Amino acid sequence: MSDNAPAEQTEQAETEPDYRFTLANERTFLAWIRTSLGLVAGGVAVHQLVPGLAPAPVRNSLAGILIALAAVLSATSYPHWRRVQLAMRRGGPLPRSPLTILLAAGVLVISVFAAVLVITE
Amino acid sequence: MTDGLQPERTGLAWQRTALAAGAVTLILIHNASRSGWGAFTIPAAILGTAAALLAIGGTIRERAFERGDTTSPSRATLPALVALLITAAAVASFTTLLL
Repeated sequence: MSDNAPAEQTEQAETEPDYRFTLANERTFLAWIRTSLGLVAGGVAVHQLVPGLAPAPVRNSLAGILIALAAVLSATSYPHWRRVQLAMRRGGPLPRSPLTILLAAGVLVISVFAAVLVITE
Repeated sequence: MTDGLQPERTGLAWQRTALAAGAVTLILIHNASRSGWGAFTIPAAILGTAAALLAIGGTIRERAFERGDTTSPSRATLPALVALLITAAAVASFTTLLL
């Protein structure tokens, strides 16, 4: 019985959430990973495949923003998945995601940058 | 556990992510071949490892779904490793391409 006591306590503090929510959290994590991979691909493409777009330093800055954003997104995706999983296990409110605003701001910067490059060509 | 669509969708998400990682690995290998290999091979190797891990880990996860095991601990090694490797690949790409 004494062996079961701590396990029971943990059981009360944390319960297995509905598997649909567990799987949805997992899919969301994977979607962030794919977004990050897409940004890496975009960064390499800007660096290598469009030599006529702008002078090399300008083009490299754009590639740098893309790849840096990719690194930040993938680095924060796991801690976010974990916070959501813990919140669900403990029955607490879901944590806010800093990732969405970060991605929106990053893509805005990239779009404006790319637009300026194309227009001033 | 009558709703088989959720596990199936999650299994497909793993496969899709493995495919995306594989595709980006090919882009990095292409980039390395054009740049004379050397340090450019590093990001390709890291991302290739991540792609393999996603494919293998995703398959293991899908097998678990088929057995009816859809639990997920609050701390999981596979997502942590995947996120770590892809961050490392991005940092290595940044360093070799731009510095």
